[in-house]
Amino acid sequence: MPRVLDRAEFGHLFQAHARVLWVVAAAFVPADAVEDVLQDAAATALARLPEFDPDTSFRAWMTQIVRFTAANVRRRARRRAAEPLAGDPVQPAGNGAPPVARDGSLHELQAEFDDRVLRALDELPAIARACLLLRVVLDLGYAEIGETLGLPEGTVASHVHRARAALRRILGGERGDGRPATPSAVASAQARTRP
Amino acid sequence: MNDPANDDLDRRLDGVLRAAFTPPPAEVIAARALPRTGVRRRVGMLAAAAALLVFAAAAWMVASASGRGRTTARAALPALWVAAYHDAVARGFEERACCDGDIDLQRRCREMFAAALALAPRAGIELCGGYCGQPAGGAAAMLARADGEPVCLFVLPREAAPPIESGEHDGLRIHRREVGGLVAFEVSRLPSPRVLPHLYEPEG
Repeated sequence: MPRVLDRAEFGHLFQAHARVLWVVAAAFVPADAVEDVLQDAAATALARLPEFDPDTSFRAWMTQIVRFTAANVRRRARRRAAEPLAGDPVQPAGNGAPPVARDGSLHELQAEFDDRVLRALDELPAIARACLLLRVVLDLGYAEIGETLGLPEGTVASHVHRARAALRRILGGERGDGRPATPSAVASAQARTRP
Repeated sequence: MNDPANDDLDRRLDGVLRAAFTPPPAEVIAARALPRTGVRRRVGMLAAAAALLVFAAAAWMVASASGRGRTTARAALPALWVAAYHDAVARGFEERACCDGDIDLQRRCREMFAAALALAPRAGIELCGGYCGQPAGGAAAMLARADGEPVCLFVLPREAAPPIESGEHDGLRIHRREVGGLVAFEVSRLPSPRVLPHLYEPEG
């Protein structure tokens, strides 16, 4: 029978994988719900510690609980709002984005580009978002992402590749034939959305 | 072969994703997510506040030093101030830990910005002193209590103040008020500003 982790060991392991868990949660729920998801997931995991085999991957086990918890949070939010899941906005989160109103004086184009990327990201399937964010933000390898999310390495590579292609397409970075547009075409595509 | 146009777009996309989704330090995430009790909770809060502060300060310094310039650095200030609030609260808002009771708001603003700002005496509001824990992004940082509730006050010249309106950040409220050539920001858990309404520009 496998040994059962104690709370201190759980705490150490949770902290060791906290940033991965945070990014996974952020891929599935809006930024303002990430903390709640992680709290609920930690409570669930603590209650289910006897089920965890310390000889297996803590990160994979905990990620599964985070995803399950995030799905419940989204389901509850959807029921409350009575609107489709796709309406959930992906909000910038990171180290706690401040309530900054843009002053319009500088970096206006960059700010607009940022907004378009985040909106485009929202159109991706959640699992593709998770793969892309783990790859880009935490620089994890495909194998590591696969182990974390319980996916084959090839599937992760495919998700990341397709997610990038979809973002480029949504942002106007590729022509309809799949070939890349020129920088000026990208600029004019951005210009079309300006007021 | 990779296409340079796609490579460039990918670099920009990656930059946006990293800026928007870089998680807080692991100890901060763990401290917020894991249930704690007693002394362990306090130690955890201190560690989390310190880590948050270091993280926010680093972000502010990187923004200050980067090519994105002053606008980005100013945009990072609220996160720095929220981290400073958590740091001050975690240290108990006590004089020996993070508060210099000899520092007076009026004198500090004169010394730092050659401009005057004072707090009208008001029942229920106690100005504890200057916050001396960690960098506050060039702001004059003061600690106060409003009916016992911790309040941090950050003051900057108008041209250096971040372009934020009153709003919520990380469970705290940030309120803004311009007084003469200075802008004061009140950071607390209170739903409305308690200190800001009593600031004034003294004559002379």
